[in-house]
Amino acid sequence: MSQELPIITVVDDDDSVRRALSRLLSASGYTVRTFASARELLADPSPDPDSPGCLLLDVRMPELDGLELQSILKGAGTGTAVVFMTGHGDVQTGVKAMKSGAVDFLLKPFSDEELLDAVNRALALDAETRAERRDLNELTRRAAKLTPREREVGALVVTGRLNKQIAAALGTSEKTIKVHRARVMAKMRATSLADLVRMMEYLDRVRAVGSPGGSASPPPGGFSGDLRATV
Amino acid sequence: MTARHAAHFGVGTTELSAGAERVQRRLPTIHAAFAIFIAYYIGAKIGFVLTPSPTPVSTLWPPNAILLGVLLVARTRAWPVVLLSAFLAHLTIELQSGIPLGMVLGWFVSNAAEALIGAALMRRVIEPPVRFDAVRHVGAFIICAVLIAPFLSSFLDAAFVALNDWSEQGYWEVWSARFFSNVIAILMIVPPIIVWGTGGATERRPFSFARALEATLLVTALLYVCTVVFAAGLWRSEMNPAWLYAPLPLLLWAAVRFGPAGTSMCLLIFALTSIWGAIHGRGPFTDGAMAQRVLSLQLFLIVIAVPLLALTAVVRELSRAGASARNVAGKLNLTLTAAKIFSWDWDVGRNRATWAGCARLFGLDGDEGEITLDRYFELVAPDDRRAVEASITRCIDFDEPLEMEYRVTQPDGSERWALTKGSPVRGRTGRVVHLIGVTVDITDRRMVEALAQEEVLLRESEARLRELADAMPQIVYAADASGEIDYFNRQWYAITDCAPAAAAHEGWAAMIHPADRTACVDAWHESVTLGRPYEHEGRFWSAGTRSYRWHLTRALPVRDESGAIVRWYGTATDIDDQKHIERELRIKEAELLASSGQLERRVADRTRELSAANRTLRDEIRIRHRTEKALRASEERFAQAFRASPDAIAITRHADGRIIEVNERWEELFESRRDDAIGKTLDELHMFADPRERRRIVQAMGSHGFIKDLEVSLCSCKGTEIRGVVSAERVEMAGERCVVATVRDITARRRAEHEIEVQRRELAHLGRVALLGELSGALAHELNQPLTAILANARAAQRMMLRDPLDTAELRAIMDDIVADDRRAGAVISRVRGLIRKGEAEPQLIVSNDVVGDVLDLTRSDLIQRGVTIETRLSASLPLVYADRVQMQQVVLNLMVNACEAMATMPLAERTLLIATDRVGDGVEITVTDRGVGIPGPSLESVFEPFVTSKPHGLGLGLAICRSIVDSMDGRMWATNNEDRGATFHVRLPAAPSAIPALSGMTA
Repeated sequence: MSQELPIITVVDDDDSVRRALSRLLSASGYTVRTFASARELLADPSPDPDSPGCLLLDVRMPELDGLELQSILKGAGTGTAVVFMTGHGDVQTGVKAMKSGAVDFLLKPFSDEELLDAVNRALALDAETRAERRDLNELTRRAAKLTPREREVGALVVTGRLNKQIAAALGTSEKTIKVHRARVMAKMRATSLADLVRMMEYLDRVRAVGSPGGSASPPPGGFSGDLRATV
Repeated sequence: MTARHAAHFGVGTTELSAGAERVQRRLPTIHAAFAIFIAYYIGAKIGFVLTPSPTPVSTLWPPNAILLGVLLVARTRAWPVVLLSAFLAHLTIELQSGIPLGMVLGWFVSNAAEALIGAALMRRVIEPPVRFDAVRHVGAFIICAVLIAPFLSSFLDAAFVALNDWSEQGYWEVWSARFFSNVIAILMIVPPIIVWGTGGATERRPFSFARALEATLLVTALLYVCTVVFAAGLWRSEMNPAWLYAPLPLLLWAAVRFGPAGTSMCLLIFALTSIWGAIHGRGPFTDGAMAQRVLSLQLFLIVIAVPLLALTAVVRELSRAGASARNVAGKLNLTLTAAKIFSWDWDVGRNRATWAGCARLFGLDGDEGEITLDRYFELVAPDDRRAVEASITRCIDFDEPLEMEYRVTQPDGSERWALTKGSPVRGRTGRVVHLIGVTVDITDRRMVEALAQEEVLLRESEARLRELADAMPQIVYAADASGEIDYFNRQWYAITDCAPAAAAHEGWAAMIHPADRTACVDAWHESVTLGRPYEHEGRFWSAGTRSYRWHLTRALPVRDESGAIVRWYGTATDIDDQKHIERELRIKEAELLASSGQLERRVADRTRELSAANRTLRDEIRIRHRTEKALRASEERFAQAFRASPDAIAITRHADGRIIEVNERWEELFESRRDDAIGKTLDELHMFADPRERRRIVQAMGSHGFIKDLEVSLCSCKGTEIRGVVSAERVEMAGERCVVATVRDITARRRAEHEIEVQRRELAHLGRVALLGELSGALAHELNQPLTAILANARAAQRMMLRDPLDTAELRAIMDDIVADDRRAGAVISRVRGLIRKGEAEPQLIVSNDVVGDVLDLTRSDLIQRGVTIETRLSASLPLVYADRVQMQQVVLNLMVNACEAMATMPLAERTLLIATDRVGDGVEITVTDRGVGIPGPSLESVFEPFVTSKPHGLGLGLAICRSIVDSMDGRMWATNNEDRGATFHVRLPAAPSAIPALSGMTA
């Protein structure tokens, strides 16, 4: 993991606003890059999408507005932490923005505290999201190693069934089950049953939701074992 | 016989007495001729019988006498026939006797001559009819017929005899024989013929048996005596010749008692018998030769007959005289009685009076009597006695005729008037011994006189009344009970120039106008029939004005005690002027109310209702009252219309400008009671708050004489401001020049208009606000951008200033940006403020392109948000427009917003908006063209109507407001659809100098 300096990307069609914001963020110690329009951003050979940072987007823009940009980036898998700003006080737009996963929806004019607060939250979210992804990748890698039988067993194990019952359900012996169970535990590097359960559930949730985050966020407390360690 | 044939001669009635008239009839002459033929024939035969044998001449020759008698009785025209017939008879007779023709003819000639002479002479002397009861007639007869005729004809006769040598006697012998023969014949035969031919006795006496007996006795006695004396042959020559006169007493008896008829008959008998006796040798006349005997007999007869005829005539005359005297006396008595007169003869000495006549006045009955003077005086009314006595005394003493009128007391106590006239009769001594005279009952006369006097007075009164009737200015007429008008006063004739005779028998109806004639006449008939007073209006011909004039005719019946109508009296008064007055009044009324349409209609209705009947009664006061009443009634209606008018009306006197009359609406509008307003001038009521308004009105009135629909500001008496439309006109009312002014209150209307204007401005403002509302997002955005930049820049600057060293260049850049951003924000705000301003329109000279620019600035972010691309095509050489800047911005803004919304459904690439300005004519045209959905054809106009919108949440007022704004700028706004897609809105405004937009009139 490269510890890069997070970059704040500002997109606003108003020149003076863009300039002012750039100045402010720079003066606050952030690295800023600005674009006059969404198109410019997309055209830009952007740095590694994995590089940390957040987006500061103006909602109302000609041609491609902020929300559309966000959805494009989300589709591309890059723009996770977005802070919207707008000159209109439009509730509808705000709700839409928040629903699409924006960190904040700032109403112009906003104070620098508000801005920096939102930016920090966005960066934190961005980092978190990254970490989550890493974790998910790790877990997924680990889960991929499981054989189908192990998957079956694992699924049953996490329901709290006794080995005896699982054996009966699957039609094998309890011993085999125990072996499978141990293998699953080992592959998944779960320290306890509860841990395993949590992992499985997480994976399930992610699969169901389609992406990490939200309801598919890892359980509070995370998983025992340092997923990062395996990265 | 003779009488019969005389009757057959058809003698004219005028020639005979009244008695004879009855008997005479016109008979065919042939009968008469035949009768005389027979009579002549028979007479001749008798004559032959009476001819003593030796002599050729008859003692009594009837034919001549018969002829003479008939000629006397017959009409002169019949004489030729008579003669002819006699001639034929004569011929027959004489020829029978074998007498030569010459002789026969000769004898006829002499006979006829005798008869003719006698008859002619008689005719000459005596007017027919011949009467034997008149001495004169008898005398004439004796002389003419008895003596002269035979005398003359005997000459002829003797001549013929001598000529024919008929007789051996000498001429004179023949002559005398003939003479006497004819005399006797005429004397004896003609009287009977005439007396019986003229209808018998000329005296009519009723048949009495005694008289008939007496006559019979007489005739019988005479016959006897005559026969005895003359015919019986008892006469002896020794007898006393006095026996000759034995028949005389009887003849006298006949003469005295039986008149000419009896006398002549008796004489005839006497004659016939004596002649017969003499001829046959009997009687006293037997001595001597036949001729001598005959002669003496003839003489005897003549001597007896003539006096007797005379006597009978005298006796008759005396008797007639006596009868006539008695008649006269009787008539006198009748007259006296009828005239209530009696004559009196007062013996002065004996104080007694005899009277004759009718003295019922004095209570005396009968035809005559006596009365004492005392009784007389008793009967005289006490008051008059002294005067009567004095008159009588004066008459006696002074030999004056007596004449006095006095009253007589009647038995029943009433009084009658008597007139006494008399004269004194003096005796031998010269003293008055008698007073004779007559007394007349003159009560009636006096009554008649009194009546006559009354009548005179009546006539005078009538004449005065007639004068009065003639003097009256009205037509006066009178009719009898049947309605036949028999009197018209002078006015009638003067007015209608009707001929006096032409008015009778409903000829007066010709004087009435043909249209009214039937109604008038029928109404008159009805009144007369029903006995109702007559009252009718009709047009009479007025000769003076040569036109028909309206008259009111009234008539009343006059009844007698029984209630029956005896007369009608009527008058007709000229009411033509009144009618004209009414008509003119009507015209004046219509003129007066010409200023108000509604009023005119109502007054026309009322005027039609105005009754046309003006009744004139006998005196002029009632006529005037009626006229006044009608005027008042029409005044009343006019007043009602005046009062009830929805507009305020005031009538002022032109002379001093004081109010004469106001209606109720005026009172309401000007908040002043009528009583307070009347008599004051308009200035005193402070109606003109603004002296300029007053001047305007006065000028308008002065220059034209009327005001029509002039809008002015007035003030009510309580100070309320009134905006009104004034119309005023000069009129003449009741001889005064007045001004009638109507004020239609439009205060409310103006206020409403002002309200509307205010509302419109409000609405425009709200429209703007709504527009702004729609743009609010964009506007907010527009403000927020600079604000955000300013804040961020400032905060950045603050952080930068903590660093060391300071980056001044950067800081300077920051400050510049801040200032610029601030200005930017300020501009937006001021624009918004401008739009929000709710003020009145402040028109100014505007560059249209600038307005477009302003609006574009305002909407930039909105356009971005909508994704609309703007294209402008602004003409460089546009005239200035005189308009309110904000309102123009509002219009362009609205059109742009609408255009954006129209394109909302289009794909982004298609959303282009074109704004163009062009010079068109001498004005400016701004067009906003979109490429949206366009406007449906029928809605191209209706989109400008309020509440027409395609937006689900819109009110649809935007375009309506814009249009009203454009209209108020004297411009036009319309929409068209583009050929390919979308719509174009056009706004055309006039160029500034000649375009002053119309402002609303309310200056308050």
